[in-house]
Amino acid sequence: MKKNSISCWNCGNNVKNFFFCEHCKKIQKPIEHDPFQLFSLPYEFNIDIEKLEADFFNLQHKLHPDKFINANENEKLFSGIHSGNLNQSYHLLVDPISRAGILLKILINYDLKEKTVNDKILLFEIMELEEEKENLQQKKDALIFYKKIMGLIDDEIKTINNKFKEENYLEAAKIHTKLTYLKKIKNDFKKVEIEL
Amino acid sequence: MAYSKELVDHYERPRNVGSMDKSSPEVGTGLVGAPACGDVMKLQIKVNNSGVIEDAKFKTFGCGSAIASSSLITEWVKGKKIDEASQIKNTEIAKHLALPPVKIHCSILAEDAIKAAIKDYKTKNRKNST
Repeated sequence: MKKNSISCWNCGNNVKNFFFCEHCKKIQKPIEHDPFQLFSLPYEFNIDIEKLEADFFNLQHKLHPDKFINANENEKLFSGIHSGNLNQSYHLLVDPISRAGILLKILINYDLKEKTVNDKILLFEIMELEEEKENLQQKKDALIFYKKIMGLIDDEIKTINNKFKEENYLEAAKIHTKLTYLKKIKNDFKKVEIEL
Repeated sequence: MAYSKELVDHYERPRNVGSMDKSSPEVGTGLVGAPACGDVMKLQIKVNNSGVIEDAKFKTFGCGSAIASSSLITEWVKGKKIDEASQIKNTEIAKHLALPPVKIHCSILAEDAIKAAIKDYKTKNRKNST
């Protein structure tokens, strides 16, 4: 059981809010959290991006170090950490591929790092896409290829959304692996575009 | 932090880049990947009747350390018996190339690739002999 009682450093009352004491309104010492907890989101893949963005700006407005210029050193420090955490968590959540990765880590302790995959069908497909990218000669072809990659990413995001809904996390993890590769190819494309 | 001379050398002049006919019974193909880095590695070996690796080829898309690790391992396995080749440890590759800690998994990938290639070769030839 996670202990839910943390006392405010200023007034000593129990605090439930991550950021401010409900009693004396002082900024609180940052505690361990994941991005979903930080934005009070349920552990679901499908999130309301507009609400996330609004919450992000709203919280950043209250917690930004600029708001604590005249506060004490501890409060300045807390504000800096909160603000940094908010930035990082927001960016991790707003990108569906990294959001899926975090969710899998939380739900089934799945970690892509230092993992070797030997799913031949997937690796073959990725190898072929890499070769296709390597052989791009003209800007026109590069654009067609880029659209194809974007289309593949969109399709897989729809599929992964369904797998999360069905709570089929192992299948979701497989799709996440593929999405990680596709994202890398998409990012490489920016370099290809410059070269052409 | 700088990369070692050996690593840069393998990255700039990779040895044994290419492909072999994966349907040939003498050829074993290993295909492995490390999605975190976006690496895909194909490693192929050609084995003669006495179980010696005559030739090795690789094709890797990914970071410099993955390319250097696969290039180095193709050089090392040539002329070795398949059982010797499967003894190569990722730590030897990492040491030779002086891989930084965050890139150790690239050498693991090369070890996994050669093992997968040997396994593929063995599976193929077990089928052929029966």
